[in-house]
Amino acid sequence: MPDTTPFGNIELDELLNRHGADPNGWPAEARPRAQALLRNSASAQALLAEAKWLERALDAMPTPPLPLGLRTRIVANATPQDAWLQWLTTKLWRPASLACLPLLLGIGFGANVADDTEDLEDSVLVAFSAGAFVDDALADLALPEDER
Amino acid sequence: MPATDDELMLAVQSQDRAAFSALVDRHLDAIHAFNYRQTRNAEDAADLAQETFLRVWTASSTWQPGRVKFTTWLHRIARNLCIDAHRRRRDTEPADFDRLESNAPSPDLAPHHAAMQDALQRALAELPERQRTALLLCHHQGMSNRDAATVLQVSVDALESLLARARRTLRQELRDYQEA
Repeated sequence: MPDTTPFGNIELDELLNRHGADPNGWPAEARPRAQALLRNSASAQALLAEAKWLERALDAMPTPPLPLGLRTRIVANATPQDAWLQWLTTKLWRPASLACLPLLLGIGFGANVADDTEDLEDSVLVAFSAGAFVDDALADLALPEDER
Repeated sequence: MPATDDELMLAVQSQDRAAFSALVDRHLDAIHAFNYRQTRNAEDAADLAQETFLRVWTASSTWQPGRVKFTTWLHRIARNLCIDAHRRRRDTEPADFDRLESNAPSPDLAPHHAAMQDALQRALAELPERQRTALLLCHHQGMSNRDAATVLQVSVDALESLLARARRTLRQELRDYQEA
């Protein structure tokens, strides 16, 4: 079923801005309608001419020549890598990052808990609790192994 | 029949320097031009091209055939390096458009054309990075909207919206030259 939505200069302008001035690059469903408009409208033709002008200006932008020796330098820099180094840099970092995730979550969670501790007494309690935990652990270590 | 980019990349993954050299031969001009249009500085463009291909060599094992086209992957590397270079420069130097190289116009070029080219390059440099990259990829690098969207990691619709804004801004900036 043919598309019956209106196609005027606004739609043509959007088409040119999104897809450029070459009709071969336009979406197939829009092309015949745009071309029909262009056949009958001088203002539509002016829009197309403006779009083509911009593309010609972009085409004319100069670029400097490649520096002498650049190609050779690039290939010379490609030295064989140690297999373990390649594995370390490309394969290991992903699992290593994943392994660090719980640690980061713990730090984030801990920071939030600390922010929420508004009452000084609570902070002191937390500090003493932590201290008591450390004392217990040290005491355990001081005991002979069979008494732990 | 010459080897495809994918075939060459598979060889590069096995540290094949001849395959790497063939890829450099095939794509260096395009990447150098892309970098130059991003930075407007010949020295930066050459350094970034060298860095781009070095990344291709050292990170070749991360490229997966069939998942993304080699050229798309290559341009994503180049773009990221251009962004990094821009950030470093922004952090260390004040914004100064006079730093950007003005391409010496050819003597046989009409003064009007030379002024228009200068205005175009400045307007392009002042576009937001994503709009400029979208336009460079589609217009100069000959990419389809779909491939350019993959490089920019946006939807095709978002890419086309970037293109539309870029072209509209450039036309607006250059209106005086067009009417002259």
